Amino acid sequence: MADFFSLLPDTLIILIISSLPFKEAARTSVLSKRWRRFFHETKTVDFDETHFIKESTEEDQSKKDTQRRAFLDFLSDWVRNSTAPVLNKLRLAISNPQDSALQVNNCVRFAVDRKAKILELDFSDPSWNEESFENHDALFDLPPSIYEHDTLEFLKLFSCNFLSSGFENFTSLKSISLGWIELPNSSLGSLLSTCRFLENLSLKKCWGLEYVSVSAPRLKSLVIDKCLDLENGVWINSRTKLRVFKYIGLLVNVEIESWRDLEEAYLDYGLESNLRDCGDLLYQTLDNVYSVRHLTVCSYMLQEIPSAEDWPTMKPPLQCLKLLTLKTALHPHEYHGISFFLNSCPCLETLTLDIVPSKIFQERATHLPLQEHEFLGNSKYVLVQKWMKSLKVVEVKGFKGGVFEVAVVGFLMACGRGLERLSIVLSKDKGDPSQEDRYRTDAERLLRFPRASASLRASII
Amino acid sequence: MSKKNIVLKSSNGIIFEVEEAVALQSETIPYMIEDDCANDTIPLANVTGDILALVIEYCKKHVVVADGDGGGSSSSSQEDLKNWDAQFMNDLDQSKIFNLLLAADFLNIKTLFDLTCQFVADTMIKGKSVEEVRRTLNIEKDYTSEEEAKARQENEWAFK
Repeated sequence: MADFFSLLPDTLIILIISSLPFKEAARTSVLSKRWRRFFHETKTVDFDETHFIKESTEEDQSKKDTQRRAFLDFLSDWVRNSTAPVLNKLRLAISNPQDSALQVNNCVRFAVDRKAKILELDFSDPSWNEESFENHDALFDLPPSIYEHDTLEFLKLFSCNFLSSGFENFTSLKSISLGWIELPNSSLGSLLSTCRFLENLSLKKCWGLEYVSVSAPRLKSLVIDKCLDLENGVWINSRTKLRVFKYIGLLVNVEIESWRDLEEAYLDYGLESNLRDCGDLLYQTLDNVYSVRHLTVCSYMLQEIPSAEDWPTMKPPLQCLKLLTLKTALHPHEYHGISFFLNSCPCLETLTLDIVPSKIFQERATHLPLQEHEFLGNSKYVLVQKWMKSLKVVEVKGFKGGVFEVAVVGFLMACGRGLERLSIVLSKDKGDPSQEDRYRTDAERLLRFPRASASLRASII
Repeated sequence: MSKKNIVLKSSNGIIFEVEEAVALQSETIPYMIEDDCANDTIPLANVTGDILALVIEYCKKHVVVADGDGGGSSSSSQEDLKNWDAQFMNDLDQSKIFNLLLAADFLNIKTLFDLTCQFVADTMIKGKSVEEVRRTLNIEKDYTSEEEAKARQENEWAFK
């Protein structure tokens, strides 16, 4: 067999190496003499402290200090020796950047000189807990050299202060991702008015916001991830033709005036600690994302939605919805919620059951008896619904078997007349590999259940 | 309304007639037309017929349909395209993949070039040991054991 790589010019090999994660690219330097120098030309650079400092609480500080020094030496050498004329991406992830300000500033300078289109500076500490309500002050200011970088397209700043007025020069900037930072609403507002070409905005663990109000005509995607003090909710005005909206955090009021343009919504209230009879607020939120094609909802939604006054379906139904993803434990307390979504989606084509650990609340949002639920009861009482004809694909991820998971999937098989494909991905438990055999046995048993569709192809992965 | 067609000729003389919008995904072809490189037929001396067929298959799939809708493909077709791309690459053997990479580079079709680069990186290098990569790509080890150990030491962090 020919050595295809030996026929490729250096420039192409460098581009292939640039498609690799930095760590993998580093390993290619050992392949042969020719390959050794390519690594220093990669256009995708990722300086990550955790590649050098191994996490372990017992380890003594002096060892960590040595590892950190090795990281900083590597970073400095690499910046000095890099022969790449331009960079595609530079990422720097280092905690306590104030202790190594010189190296950090040099690194940013390097990214600006080499016109890195994607720049990510992550100064958050790996030990910070995302789900905690504790806030952390940013310990570092964005080096001023960055504000000269007029070809920057993507900027991620975690735990790093910045001057939003300086963003004026970023005329190519399309995506901003901010995290672990105090972000008063006024700062967000001035950022949005400064970056008029912004298409993607992501806010993670930002605090001091109180509410998010967005008016940005070009913005296509908005992600709000665990910003836990948005008491006054999220408001997206009619000028903002948002296509993707993703929210993870506490249940807040969400209003999207330009809902017609929305194609994808992701609503995860997994941080809520108890049910609070707020089905109507959830119902209203779903009404706000009425036009989506792809919807993802969480276990909290499934448990709480039965308390909505307009239960048991959306009126009008979610006509545009083709893909539905449920992040669920497939626990009976979620059953009424699952039925709600199935029966509210007359054109549903693909259902993904993403089985994840979920908080299951002791109390239930509805007093309807569970033993009569269609998943558990006798299927002759099941009403014919539109999804039974439209649903083509069911994907079950993280299947662990057991009565409750089997009941749901079995019900879908028994009623899905149009089903073409069912794939069951078994849970990969890290602890005990012997469990997987048990999961497989349950999945195999499940596939022998009655099927409403003769053309169903099922697989276990 | 009739659409303008462009005729492409592979290095081994195979003729392909494609719609202009399909061919113009290549940033090289417009120059060849402007340079009047050929009156009717554009000869592509670096691309064989079987590879050109693949390139055209890709470009046909990725042609942006400029209908009256105001343009812009919806997320649905984006997803479909991604799946199609994955299948397209998966069906190729190593020699086709490398020739496709060279063709995409020569014809300057950025999305196809990026797709092929990423595929090579993901399937032939990523997650494999040094020995496996050498075997997969048939790279001759020209290091002595000491030299290899030294190279490893330089980037020790990447092997942990």
